[in-house]
Amino acid sequence: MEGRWGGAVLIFLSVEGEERQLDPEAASDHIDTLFRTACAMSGSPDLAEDLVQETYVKVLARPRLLRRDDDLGYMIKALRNTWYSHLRDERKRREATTGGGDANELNVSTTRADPEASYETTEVLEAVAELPPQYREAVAAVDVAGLSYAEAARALGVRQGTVMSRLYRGREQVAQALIPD
Amino acid sequence: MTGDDSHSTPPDERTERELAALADGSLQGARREALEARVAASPALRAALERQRSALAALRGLDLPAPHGLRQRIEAERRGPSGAVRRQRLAIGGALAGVAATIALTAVLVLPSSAGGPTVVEAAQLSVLPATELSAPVDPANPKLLEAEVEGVPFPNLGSEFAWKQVGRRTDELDGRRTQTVFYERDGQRIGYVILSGDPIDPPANATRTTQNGVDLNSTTDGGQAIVTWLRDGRTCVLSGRHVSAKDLREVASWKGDGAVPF
Repeated sequence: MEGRWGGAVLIFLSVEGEERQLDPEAASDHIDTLFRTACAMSGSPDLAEDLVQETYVKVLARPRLLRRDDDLGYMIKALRNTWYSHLRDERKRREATTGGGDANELNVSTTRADPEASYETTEVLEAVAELPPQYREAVAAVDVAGLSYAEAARALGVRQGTVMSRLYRGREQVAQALIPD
Repeated sequence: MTGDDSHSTPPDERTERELAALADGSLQGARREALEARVAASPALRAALERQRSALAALRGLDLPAPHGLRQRIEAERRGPSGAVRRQRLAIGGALAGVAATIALTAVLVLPSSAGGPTVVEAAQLSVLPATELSAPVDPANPKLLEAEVEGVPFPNLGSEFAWKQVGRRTDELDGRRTQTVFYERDGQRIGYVILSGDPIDPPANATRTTQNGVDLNSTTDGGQAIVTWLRDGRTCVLSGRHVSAKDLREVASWKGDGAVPF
């Protein structure tokens, strides 16, 4: 498959194990998954929209060579970087305006222009937003984005066993939060 | 754990990992069989596994399709080179500019204008490009403004007054002048609000001049696209969007937010 990219013609290799360029068309297939994952990471569909857009801008501007057939994992990793970059900017902004504050605190806002987000969706997002960041990432990567444990471990930069432990604990807390009063 | 452990301590870490894997089907072989046997004998493990499956079902069932506007912006980004790529091309002398997908627009950005400076119509073309930066935060000290500005002229927050939601930004250099564009969307429509650094530029010769809310506005069209230009604190502002009426643009352009938006 050939694709023009930034004025140059690149050859995309699809053989697993060989280096290949991220396929921009395939990357576009992941918009829904990235958006759901960003919602889980950030707790806010509005913010998720910005994060996904920024992620695509970065990835499409500076595509990397991938060694594995793992485009979604790469995109999730890029999304995570964008999310942390946002948190850092937010922390700086808060320090400049109010003298501090926890930028990891999520302001869950599931009210959005699209009112179709169901009550259940809102509840689940709120439960995920309450998780400690490391559990939230694992839940977002595996259960929301659908990565395998190995892919999630690469995307999150931790061992596979760590992903599984965090996933267990994250799910446990989500389940407890969703139990009706 | 034994069969009588409903109030016992949480499972050890290895069991946690295996329960997670059993819940989503990734635990296989002998380890699966061994854990299933333990679960069968332990109410606590059964309950823990049930909670894992319950959370998993809720998380996998999240019904959150990407908004149409986001999809459109990403498609536009994929089809055209990004601002970063374009700036990189400028840095290497524009040699690759002729090969780019958006040849016409790149030429606008790279080549000096015939009149020796950018034109309003050229600035308006920025409003149809994709955003390359995150939305600016709302100014906490003045919610009618955004924390984005060009040479001290801030962009307005049009959300509460006009329901135009900010959806991103981009920064460009147009014939030697830094420009910033903030994009807003409403009901599937999109507008770009451009502020140019430097001295004012002349409105198009064919523009219609009106005064609204004490602001002198110049309106024109280019390829069916309404364009309004005016000055704020000596800086040229250009507002434009496809399928948006000039009347709507003038209303936004002349909005002073009861004095909160500086002119």
